[in-house]
Amino acid sequence: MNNQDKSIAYAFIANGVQIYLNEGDYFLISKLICSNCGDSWYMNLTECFLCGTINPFLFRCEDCGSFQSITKSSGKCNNCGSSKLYMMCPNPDCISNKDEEVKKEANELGGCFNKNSGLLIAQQYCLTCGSQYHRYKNYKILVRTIDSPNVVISKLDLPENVSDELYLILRLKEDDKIKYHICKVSELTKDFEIKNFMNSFKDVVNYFYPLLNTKRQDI
Amino acid sequence: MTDEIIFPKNPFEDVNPSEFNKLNKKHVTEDFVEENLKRLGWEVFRPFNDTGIDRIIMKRVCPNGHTKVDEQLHGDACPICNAQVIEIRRFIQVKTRQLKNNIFGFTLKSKDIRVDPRHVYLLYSDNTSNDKQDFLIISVKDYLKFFDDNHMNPFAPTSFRKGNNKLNSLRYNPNTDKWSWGRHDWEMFRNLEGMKRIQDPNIDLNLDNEIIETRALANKLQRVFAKGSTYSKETERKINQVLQQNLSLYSDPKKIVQLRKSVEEYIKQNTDEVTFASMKKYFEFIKTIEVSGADEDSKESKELIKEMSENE
Repeated sequence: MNNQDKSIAYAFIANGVQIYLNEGDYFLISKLICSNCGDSWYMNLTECFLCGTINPFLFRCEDCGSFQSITKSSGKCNNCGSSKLYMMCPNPDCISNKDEEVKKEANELGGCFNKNSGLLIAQQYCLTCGSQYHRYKNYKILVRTIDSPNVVISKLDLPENVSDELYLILRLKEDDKIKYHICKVSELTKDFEIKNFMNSFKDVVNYFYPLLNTKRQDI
Repeated sequence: MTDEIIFPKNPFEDVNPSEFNKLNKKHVTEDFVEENLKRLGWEVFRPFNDTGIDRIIMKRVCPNGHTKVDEQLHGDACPICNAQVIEIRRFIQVKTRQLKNNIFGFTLKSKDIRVDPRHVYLLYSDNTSNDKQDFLIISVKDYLKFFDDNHMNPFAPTSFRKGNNKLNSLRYNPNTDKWSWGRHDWEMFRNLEGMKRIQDPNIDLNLDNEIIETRALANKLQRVFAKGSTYSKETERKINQVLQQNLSLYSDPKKIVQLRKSVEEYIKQNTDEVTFASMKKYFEFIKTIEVSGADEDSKESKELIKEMSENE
């Protein structure tokens, strides 16, 4: 992989997109997304197995109910000094809070979000739209750096027999800023001038992985 | 022709796969898998950095199933029925194990259960015998369906959600040269038979429906709570009741979104700004490990948490 491709690859990775390589000139970008709205799906994120609440990664004091950070915890409640700090589900209506017997058994194992409880599960519902369906979305990507908005196809050194699915990212460096343009290789039939560049890499990521008209609820 | 193919076959003639041990085998086993998939005409992509998916593979096939397991189509049309060729993609998670007492022991966590049926587990037995290796290749949908069809549920115990539910039922019988799960045959997932199954173009052609069906199977199996030795019978009963209620309630996606919003608001009202910010920061950390492929419990993750803690 040359430096130009690597630079683009790392930019994708920084934006939550995974990169896959083969011996060819192009690479794959891939991401697990919600089938409905296109938002990222995080298999490392856990939710309450019982009610679906997202893991807040907080301790909660069983005695006074206050929350505290798990990374800064001294093992005692900052508010009342109790040592009954558990990774409880923060949903007051969750059965692990409402039912005393379930609560007791869950807290004896460290609380719902303590792995020992077995009461947490990888993300099952989309953070944005609540859909339960996810899928892989991936594209074949070819990268070329150009020195002017006027693109001469013969200078791009494009591979022969390209598939319809191969996308070309053209990058142009001007005044220390990099601008991008995306097109399908199979649609390039004649030289052209790029009039509308994308000014940030975020726009490139959004082109491939758009979020469809929804506002995220992202804890 | 298909009958004559030896698959898998060791592509590295100078060394036997059984010569590697647990500590140094990762790279060579994934390479072994890759070279074998290439031999069957798949285009293979490897991760730029370590992720949960070990290989993405692609192949151009006839949509009517005319493409042989070892065939690679070059033109745009099927040479048999002239249908427009389609490109299928599979997302491969490799698990390599050495048999112990003829058992292939492995663990799948809840994060490994995806509802995209193009997700495939490739279980690689690198010493079925000294000079023989086997692949058990099964899509997530077939995997779930196998348990559903046979009234088994390895997803119900708490150990599955804890991530330490080691499955010890996949067995090789050297006398009959057959693989089975308990008393159930697994030969249909072995080597070329498994590859034929995952080459089914209908998975891609009906992807939306296939995802819905896989989710239905996942819900049926995963939304069950088995108490094990840690919970009471009464708790098991109550939890199973709640799981079924929520499954029905959240079939309306708005309900889970509303719940999560109200819980976030509840936390916000009942905590200070620093603690609330810490929660958000942890979420950023999860996003990071999603791309790096690291586990939440890995050394790298622990270092990242420590760093976050110091910056709070």
